[in-house]
Amino acid sequence: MKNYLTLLQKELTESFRNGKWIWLPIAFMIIGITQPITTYYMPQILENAGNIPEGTVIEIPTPSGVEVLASTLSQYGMIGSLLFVLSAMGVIDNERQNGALTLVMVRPVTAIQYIASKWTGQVLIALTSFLLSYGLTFYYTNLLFEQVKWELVITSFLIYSLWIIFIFSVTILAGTFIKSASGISAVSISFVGGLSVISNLFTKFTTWSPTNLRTHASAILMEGKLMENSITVIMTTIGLSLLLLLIATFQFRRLEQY
Amino acid sequence: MTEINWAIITPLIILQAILIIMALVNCIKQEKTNGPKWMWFLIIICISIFGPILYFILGQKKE
Repeated sequence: MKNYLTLLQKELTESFRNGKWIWLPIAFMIIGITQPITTYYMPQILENAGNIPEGTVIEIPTPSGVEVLASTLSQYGMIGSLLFVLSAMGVIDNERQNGALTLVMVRPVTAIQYIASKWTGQVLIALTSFLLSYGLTFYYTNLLFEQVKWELVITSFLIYSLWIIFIFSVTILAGTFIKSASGISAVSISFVGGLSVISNLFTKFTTWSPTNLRTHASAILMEGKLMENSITVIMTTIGLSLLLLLIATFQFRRLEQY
Repeated sequence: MTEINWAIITPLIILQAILIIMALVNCIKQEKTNGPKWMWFLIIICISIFGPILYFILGQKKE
């Protein structure tokens, strides 16, 4: 436990030093609040866009607050996942390449402590960014559109966080198998992307798929209650994340034994 | 353009400014970057939002 906390602290200071604590939260806040702002100014933007013949009347219904929040969540889905994978792709690989890994592993540190510290360090930054961004977007939505129940926002936040945790488990696992940062990000992104394509194609057989978490998170906002199957999805996501981390630990131990 | 409520837009501009400044400061402090430093300067300043992010992901030389 003590080893783990030391490693985690080292991980967090390192993230401060290379600026991850700054760029990830800010990038997320920008992605988040852009959504309500552009939705709010959409009529003016269209008016100034040109290309529209004189006298065109465009009627855009004002979206409700929950709709704006749900569309923000789908924004995170595309760019957000990419940023998360990119931010975490190098965590193990860099240390392997500059030799810091050997320095750490000659001490009495077990593989599980190492992997767990890496994982928690990255997840902490990501969830902080997501919390800040989502909170700010919630504030803007209340300001520009209408009040949204905060219980719904918190529930959707928690469900979406599980998805983020899953992404990081995949990335960390890829990091123990592949020896280049670009390869790690490519594999993680195609794995996550492939999983969502498969779950969109075969909806019947993939009600358990973690990619459904995103649908569930926005469904909670829209309908105000949990969709059926959400418990299954939540359980499989937690189980799969743990399993991936376990495989990562074993693979990492094998890797370090040559 | 109809009047813009600056109270709404300003936080967005401030966030972008922080991102750019932080990336520039980090870039200057760095002894060596991946590729020439002036190139990263241009990327950070010219490409909004994604320039600084690109720098943070790819630009730092891992020692």
